[in-house]
Amino acid sequence: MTEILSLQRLDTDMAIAELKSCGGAARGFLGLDPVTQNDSLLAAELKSLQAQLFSAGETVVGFAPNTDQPRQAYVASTSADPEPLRALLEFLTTYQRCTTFVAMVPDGVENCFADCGFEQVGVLPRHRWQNYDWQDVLVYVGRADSCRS
Amino acid sequence: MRLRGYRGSDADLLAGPWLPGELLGLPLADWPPLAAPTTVPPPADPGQELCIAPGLGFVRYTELDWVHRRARVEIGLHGVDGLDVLLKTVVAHGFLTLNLSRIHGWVTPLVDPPIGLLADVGFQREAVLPEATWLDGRPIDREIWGVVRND
Amino acid sequence: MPFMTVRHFTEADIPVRTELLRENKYQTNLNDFAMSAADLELADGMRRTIESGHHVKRLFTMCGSKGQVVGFSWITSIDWRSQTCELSFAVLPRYRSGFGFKAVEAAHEYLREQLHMDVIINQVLSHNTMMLSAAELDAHAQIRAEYDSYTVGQWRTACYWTVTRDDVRGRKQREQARRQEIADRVRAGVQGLS
Repeated sequence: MTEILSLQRLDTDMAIAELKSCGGAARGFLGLDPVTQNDSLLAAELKSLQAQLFSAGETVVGFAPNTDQPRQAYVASTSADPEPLRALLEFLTTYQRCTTFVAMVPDGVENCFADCGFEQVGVLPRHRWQNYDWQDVLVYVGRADSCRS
Repeated sequence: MRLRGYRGSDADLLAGPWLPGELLGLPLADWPPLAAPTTVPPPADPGQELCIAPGLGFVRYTELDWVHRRARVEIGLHGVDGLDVLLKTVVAHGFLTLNLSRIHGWVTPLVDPPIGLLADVGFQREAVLPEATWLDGRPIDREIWGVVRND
Repeated sequence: MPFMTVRHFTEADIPVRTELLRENKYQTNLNDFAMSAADLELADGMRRTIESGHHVKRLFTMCGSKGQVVGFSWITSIDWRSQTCELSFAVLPRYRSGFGFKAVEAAHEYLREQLHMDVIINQVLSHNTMMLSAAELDAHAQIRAEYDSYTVGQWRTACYWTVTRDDVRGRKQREQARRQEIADRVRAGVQGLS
């Protein structure tokens, strides 16, 4: 079995600081946006999503449980490197007993979901407004049995 | 038909035997007798707009995002009469009154919602998410349906 | 690094803004409530705004190219449905000569590009000619409201005008056309010399 990258759990303040340091890559992360939301608003959103964030080097990964289906989690990553995401999926499968994962990624942003075995299952048109323009959001789904390394 | 704001006397309309968060929450015939009805809370913050379709039920524009000008809609109805007119009103209220650019919501195919009516008012199926909610002891698929305002 | 950036106002900015609220020109040109308010009261107000006032008011910090705080801008009367808000700004005294226009421009850009505002309402008291001359104020003003504000012992008249998305698009197109015209003229001159 491939060695899994270690993840560092982030408390809310650290999570926000790390997200802000990721610049544009953090825009749309679990629906958050450090450009339009200040720290208090980001903290409130993270709390309402029941999100947990982790760092792996310079990458931030995180998840929010699907409250309608506890075996499913929404996941996000600030980088196109698949390893941090694989580590998160391993954690979610092992310790949260997740069987499926959903990712919603702004179109045009390089991402690692296909590399991690996710399949694109839809497009949400004009779901975001950023830099004076509408942006579609791509919806990916991964399954624990095919996404784990 | 017009949607109006929520009043304290509308509390009974906020609970019923429908799936939580459903775009078209219609009463499910075989709702388990021990299951509590699905309930939405009265409006408490500016992140949602709770409207009442008098005599029918509620229409809730939730996850309201004013930067991205969108909302997720969930509807809970105690009957199915006038559904086509209601859906037209829901879209018009979202686009013209709330000035949103996009509304979307969850549709669960297993409960056989009248998706033709959604399509009639401009909604389209945008994504299919496997195992996205829980019903009758197992995870079931859900779809995201949305409509975008054409300016 | 852009010449001017806009970031969210944080708790660390409170002392600098408190000082600015009490500066003479600020009081005359915007409002003078800070003179009779305690530090704690002012700080609590700003803290409340950044913690829970997002829906009705937002504060921003304007920074120069080295990240230094140049001033502040804030939006009030936010009408999210209509995509309108009223923009106010104040530049620290030591940066007023060089940064004023850039700060205003950056704030406008942020509101349109990121917060998706369609209409920005400007209000300038008519005696305030720090950024715009009296003639320019007259030209901009769509409404002149007498007895609008009472600052530092005097009633003030305010000039109000809106800037819409279309206004900005039109201005950018005119600027682009002007730049193109100059470039064409220079090119023609160079060709004439060779």
